[in-house]
Amino acid sequence: MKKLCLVIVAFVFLLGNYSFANTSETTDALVTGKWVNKSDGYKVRAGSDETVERYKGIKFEKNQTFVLDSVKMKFSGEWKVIDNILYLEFNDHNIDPKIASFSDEGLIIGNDLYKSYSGAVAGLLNFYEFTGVPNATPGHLLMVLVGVFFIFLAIRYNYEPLLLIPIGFGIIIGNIPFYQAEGFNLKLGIYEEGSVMSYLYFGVRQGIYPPLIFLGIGAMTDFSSLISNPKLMILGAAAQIGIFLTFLGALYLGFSPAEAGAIGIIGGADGPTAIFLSSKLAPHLIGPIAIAAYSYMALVPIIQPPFMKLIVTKKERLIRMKPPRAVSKLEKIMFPVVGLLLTAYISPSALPLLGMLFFGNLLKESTVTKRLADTASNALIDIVTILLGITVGASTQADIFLTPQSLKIFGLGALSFIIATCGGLFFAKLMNVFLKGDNKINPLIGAAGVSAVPDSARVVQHEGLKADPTNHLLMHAMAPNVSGVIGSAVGAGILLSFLM
Amino acid sequence: MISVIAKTGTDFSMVAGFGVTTAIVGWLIVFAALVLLVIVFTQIPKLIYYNTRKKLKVKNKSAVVTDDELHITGDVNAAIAMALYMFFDEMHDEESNVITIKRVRKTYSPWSSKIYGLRVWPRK
Repeated sequence: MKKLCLVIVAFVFLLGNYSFANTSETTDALVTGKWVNKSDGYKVRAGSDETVERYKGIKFEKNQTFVLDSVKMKFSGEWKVIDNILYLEFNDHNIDPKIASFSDEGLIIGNDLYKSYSGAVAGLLNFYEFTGVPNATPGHLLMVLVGVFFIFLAIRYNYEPLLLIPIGFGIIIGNIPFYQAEGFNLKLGIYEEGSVMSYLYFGVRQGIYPPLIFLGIGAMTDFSSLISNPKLMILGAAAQIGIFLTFLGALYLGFSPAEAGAIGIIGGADGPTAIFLSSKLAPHLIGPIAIAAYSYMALVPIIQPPFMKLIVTKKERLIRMKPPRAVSKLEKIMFPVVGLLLTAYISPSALPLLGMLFFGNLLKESTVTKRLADTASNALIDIVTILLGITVGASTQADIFLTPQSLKIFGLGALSFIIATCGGLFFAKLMNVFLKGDNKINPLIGAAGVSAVPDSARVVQHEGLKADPTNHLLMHAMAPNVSGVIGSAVGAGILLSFLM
Repeated sequence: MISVIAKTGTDFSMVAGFGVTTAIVGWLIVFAALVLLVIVFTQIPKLIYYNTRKKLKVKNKSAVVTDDELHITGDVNAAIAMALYMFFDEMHDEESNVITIKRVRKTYSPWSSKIYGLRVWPRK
């Protein structure tokens, strides 16, 4: 009996020793390096359904404490190993204690497998997660290609380079992938609060840049062709049919009335007006609307000519218009004042745009504020164009921009430009029915009613010269062109007052 | 972001009723605003030239002053300006008509070279 007791005591002693040695090995393994897990289910941002894989790591210290890094949030607590089972108790008592077990592959906490890496490898994994490579999606790459295509169009074909270069480069900037997670803000992206890009984008979101651009346009524009032949202003109104038919199209496709209004304004072929209206009516659609408006403005030389050839007969294209009369200085000074009073009283919602447009024009025409006019038409508009272009481009972050809605907006935008062009052309033909002799107008200039200053007027000149190399229509086309700017601003004001 | 968009589907009564009304009224208002500008700016020159017209009538009672006589086109203005420019350009002092050409040679130095400057803009 005595012997049996000794054997049992010896067995228990040996077992205890083995258990102690085993626990000691486990503890050594635990405190060496860092335990890293990569699992799915992390939301990219609040309210998003998109989830991504993220690393989280636990560092166990010898003093029985641990630190858990989960999506850049740190949790700390205490650990202990009893019978080869790891117990984790968090300092934050809102988090339930966790039990972990060891396996051949690593440490299993809940459903997550943590593997042990040395500190350097864990650091490299962390660095890799912050690079663009693991965060890139096909959408990002597609948008980068779009940006490169814009830059190509601007440099190779000279299509609106002042807009397409900043927008194209902005698209590339906005689609450099980076670490994003809900509740974590690196202050990098345009949609991350506090980032430099988001501060610059503030001017777009709040509709600050468009009036400043209009100030510059006003200070650059010579309204004399319009004042000398005021009836051409009606063409600018006729082309605005593009806005309202697109509005109907957007409603038909299931957009809400406010969204439909913001999409419809693409038909005004006026980037600043489109941004201004969408910032008020549908701020979440600013990106696609602005990109659609500016892209189609740049593509005016491609969109308009086929419809001009289709609608205007060869005989009509040869019509020579009376040269515009010289406009007196008094008329030029009166135009911005009277123009503002008449249009803003009808559509006060467009006051920020119309007010700045006519103010800029008065700076120019008064001839006594040359310095201000110079600043507005050079330095100021250049600065705002740079900021507007780069931020609008950067707002096309693939995960937010590439949606079915964006595709619909692009389709509607193309349609709106076509409708607006055709509206102007048909109305010019209609006007010719009532005009006699040398008062007849060349219907090609109707296409310039779509705004898109001065590209559509240039297209008219180009098409006119194709029909008759001595028939210069540029000055005549500038009249409906600038009246299109006024018309689209008034249209924006009307939509704003109807839909806001 | 998509969830923000009110997915109401196609509501034909909305398109036919509210949509069409807004579109027609909106377009008519744009038209009205610009037609108003057309009317005003067709009449403004008549008001501005009222005095000139009156003076011309006083001088020659039988004359009918047309708009074309009052409004000068750009090409006529250009011709007048050219004539004036040529007239005033010829009004200058007599010159000796002796032209001297001086040879200027500068020693090349890469330190002052414009080829290697930092402010050279790329050319097309």
